[in-house]
Amino acid sequence: MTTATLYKTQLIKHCIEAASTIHDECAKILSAKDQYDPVVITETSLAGCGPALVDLLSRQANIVHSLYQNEGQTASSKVIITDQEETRTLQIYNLALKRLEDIASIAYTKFYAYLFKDLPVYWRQLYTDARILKFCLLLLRSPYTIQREPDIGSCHDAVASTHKHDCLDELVRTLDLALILAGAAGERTGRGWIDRALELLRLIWVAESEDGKTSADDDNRPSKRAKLVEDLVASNTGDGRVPIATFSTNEPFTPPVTHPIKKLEALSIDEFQTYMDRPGDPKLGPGPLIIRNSLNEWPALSTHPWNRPSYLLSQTFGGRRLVPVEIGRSYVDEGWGQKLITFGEFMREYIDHTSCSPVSSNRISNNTQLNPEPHNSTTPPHKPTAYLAQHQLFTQLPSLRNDILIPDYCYTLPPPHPTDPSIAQPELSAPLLNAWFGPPGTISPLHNDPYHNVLAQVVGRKYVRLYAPLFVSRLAARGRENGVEMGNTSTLDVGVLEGWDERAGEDGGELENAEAIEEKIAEFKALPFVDCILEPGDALYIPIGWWHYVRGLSVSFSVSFWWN
Amino acid sequence: MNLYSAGFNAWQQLQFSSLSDSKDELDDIASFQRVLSDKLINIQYASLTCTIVETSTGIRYAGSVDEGVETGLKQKLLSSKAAVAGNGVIAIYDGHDTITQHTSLLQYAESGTSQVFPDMHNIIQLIAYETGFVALSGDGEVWTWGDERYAATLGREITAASPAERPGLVGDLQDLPSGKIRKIAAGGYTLLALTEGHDLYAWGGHPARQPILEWLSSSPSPVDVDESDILDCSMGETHIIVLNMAGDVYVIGENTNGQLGLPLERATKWTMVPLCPEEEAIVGVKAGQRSSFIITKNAHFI
Repeated sequence: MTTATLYKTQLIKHCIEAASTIHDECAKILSAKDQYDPVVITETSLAGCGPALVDLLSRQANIVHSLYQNEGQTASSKVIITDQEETRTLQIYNLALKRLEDIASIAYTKFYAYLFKDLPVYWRQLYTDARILKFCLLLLRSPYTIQREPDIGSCHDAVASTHKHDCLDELVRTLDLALILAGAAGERTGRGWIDRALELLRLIWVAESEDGKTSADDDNRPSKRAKLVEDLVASNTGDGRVPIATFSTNEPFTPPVTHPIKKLEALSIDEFQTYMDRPGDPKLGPGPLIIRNSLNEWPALSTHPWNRPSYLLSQTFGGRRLVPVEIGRSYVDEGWGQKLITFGEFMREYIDHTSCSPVSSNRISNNTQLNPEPHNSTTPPHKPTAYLAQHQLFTQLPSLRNDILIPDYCYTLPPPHPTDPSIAQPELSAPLLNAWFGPPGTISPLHNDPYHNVLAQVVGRKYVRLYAPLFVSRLAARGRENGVEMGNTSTLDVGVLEGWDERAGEDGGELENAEAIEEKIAEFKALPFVDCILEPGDALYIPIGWWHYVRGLSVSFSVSFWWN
Repeated sequence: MNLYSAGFNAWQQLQFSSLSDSKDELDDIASFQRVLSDKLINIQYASLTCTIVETSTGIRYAGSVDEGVETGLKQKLLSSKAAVAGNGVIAIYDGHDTITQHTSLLQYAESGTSQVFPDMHNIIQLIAYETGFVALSGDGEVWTWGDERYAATLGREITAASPAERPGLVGDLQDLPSGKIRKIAAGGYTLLALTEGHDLYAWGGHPARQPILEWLSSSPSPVDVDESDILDCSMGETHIIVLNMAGDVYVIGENTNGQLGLPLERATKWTMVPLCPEEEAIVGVKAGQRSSFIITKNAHFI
C-alpha cells in the first residue's frame, strides 16, 4: 500500500466516524422524552436548534454514511454500477450537498442576529456539523479518496490537474469556514475532528506529489520532504515567475521616535516580575518596556523563518487556508470591512505581489465571506490596505503555533489596572495569542486592552506609541457607536494629528475651521507619550490599560500575548 | 380556493398531501405548484419549517411544527399577537395594552423576568424580523424596536427618549398621502408597510449586505412595483412577494431555495410571476422565510 493510500483509508474512516457521531447525537436528541418541552433544551446541546433542524441534519448524516458504505462496498466487490443507479446516487448526493448548505446558511443567519458573545453554541455547532458533513461529501467525489476506477473520482468531469486544485481549495475552505466563522464548535466532532481531517488531507496531498516524483520509499527523508514542499509551492506559481526569497523591508514612510521607551536585554522571569512589582511611580504602575533578545529560541526567527513567503505558504496548505482580513485604513474609518480570503491570495494581493503567482482561474464563488463586498465595489484606483489582525491564527494553524514560544513573562502575576480596576476581565487560563500580519501602512488606531500584553515582533518593523491610562480624560474615548461599545478606542487619529496622514472621512462630517483644528493639534501634542520602532526579535510589554497606536512600517508580522 | 407554493421544502412544509411513506429526501419546489384546494383557505402561519392553514374542515399542518407553536403561544402566534425574532427574543401582546418580551422560549417557559412595554393599545399585528419587532395598531400607528446595531430596521431616530430597545413610533408612516397603514410585513432586515390607499413603503437594511430593494434606507420610502396599486404584500428572509390591484404577483430578492417561483438565481428588479390559472383570480400572497404562497379564488365567486 502506498503512503497516500494509507492516509486515504484513514481519512475515509475519519469521515464515516463523523457521519455516525453526528447521526447518533441527533438521534439521542430526537428520541428524548418531552422533546418539545423547552425546559429540556440545555445550554449547549444541539437540541437548542429545534427538532426540525436536528432532524434535517440527522438525515444528511445518514445519507453521508450510506453513500460511504455504498462506495466502500462497490470498491471492494467490483460490482458494475448501472447508469440508472449512478444517476440516482448523484441525485441523492447533490440534494444532500444542497441541504447541508441550507443548514449552514440557516445557522449562519443566527451569527448576525446575536451579539457574538451571546450566540448560543448550538448554532455554531450546527454550522460546524453541516460543514463537516459537506467536507465528507466533497471528499467522496474528489481524487483524494480511494477510487473504484481510475477515472471516476473527479470533482466534476476530467481529472485535470486544475480540477484537482479546485477540489483541494474547496475541501480546505469548507473546514476553514467552520473553524473561523463558528469556532469549530462541538464536543465530539468540532475542532479536534477538523484539525485531524486537514492534517490527513495534507499528508495525502504531500504523499501524492511525492509519489509522482519518486517511489514511495523516499518520502521519509526530511530534506527531500522540505525540498518537495518548496517545489509544491513553486508549482503553484505556474507562470514561471520566481518567488522572492524574503519579504521586502521597504518602508514607504518611517515616523520619528521622539520619546524612546526603555530597552532592556533579555530579562529573566524574576527580573520581569520585579520590574512589575516595583514601578517608579506606584500610582501609575509599571510602564511599557522593550525587551531585546528574548525571542532567540523562536523557530520563527531561525529554523522556520517567517520572513520567507514560501515557508508561510507551505504552512498554510500551499496558501489555501482561509484567513479573515480587515480591508481599509483603520477599523474606525468609513468603508472598513472584513473579508475571508485564502492566505495565498492575501499574500499575493495585499502583502507583496511578487511573493507568489496568481492562482488558477477557476475561483470558487465566494458566497460565504464574512461580509460581502461593500455596495460600491468598483476596484479603487489604489489597492486598499488589508490587515490580518487580531486573529487566533495559531489555534487555526497548529503547525505555525510550533514556531513560537509563549514568553515566560506571561506567567508572572501582573498588577491591576492603575486607575480603573473594573476593566479587568475574568482570569485567563492561558495567554491569548493573536497574529498581526500585513503590508506597510497597517494601522491599529489608538486604543487600550483589558489585558497585559507582550507584543513580539517577528518580521519587519513596527512603530508603536503609548499613552498612560492616567490621561484617559484627554484621549477622547468613544462611546456607543451603532450599538457597539467603543469606549476602549479613541477618536484621536494619531497619524492625522501628527501630519503623517491626510484627513480621511470625518467622523460625523463636521466642518471645522482652521483655528479649531490647530487647537486640537496643540492639545494633542501636549499629551505625554512614549514611542518606539520594534525590530524583529524585540518584545514590547504593554501594561493593562495603556493606550497604544500601532503602525506597520514595512511588511510586518507580530504576535501578541494577552494575559492577566 | 387554491393554494400554490414554491420554495424551501426540506420538511415537506409546502405540501399538504402526505406523500408515500418513502424516506427519500424532498427537493425544493422551483415553480409554483398547486398544493391545496378547499372552500376556505387562510394561511395562519408560514415559518421556515412549517405552514399552518385554516380550511373549511379545520386546521391543516405541513412540515415540522415550530416549538413556539407547540407551547401555549400557539393561538397568539397564529393570530399575529406574538412573534419570535431571529435572535430568539419573544414578544407577546396581551390583547389589551401591554406587550411583554422574553429573551428566549426557555425564559418564557420558566416565567423568568421579562420586559414590559405599556401603552400599546389596539395592536392588530405583531411581527418579528431577525433582530427586532414591528407592531401595527388599529389606528395605523407603526412601532418598532430591536437591536441598535441594525438601526436602519427601526425606521426612526434613536434617541435617549426613544431608544432602540423600546417600542418607538415610526413617524414617517403617519399622515401619508394615501391614508393610514393597514398592514405590515417584516423578515430578514427589511420591513414593509401598506397603506389603505394601496401604497407600499419599505425600510431597513443590513450594514454589510446588498439590500433587496436598491434604494432601501433607514427612512420608510414608497416602493414602485410597475407603477401599480398594491393589494397585498409579504416578506421572507431575503425576498418579497406582492399582489397588485390588477391581480398580478410580483417578486424580488434571493432565490436560493426557489422561493421566487422563477428560474433565476435572484431577482434584482420586480419580476412578475407567470401564474394565471384559468377561472381563478389571485386574492392573496404570503411568504415564509424561504418560501412563497399564492392564494386564489374561483373567478366566478369574486
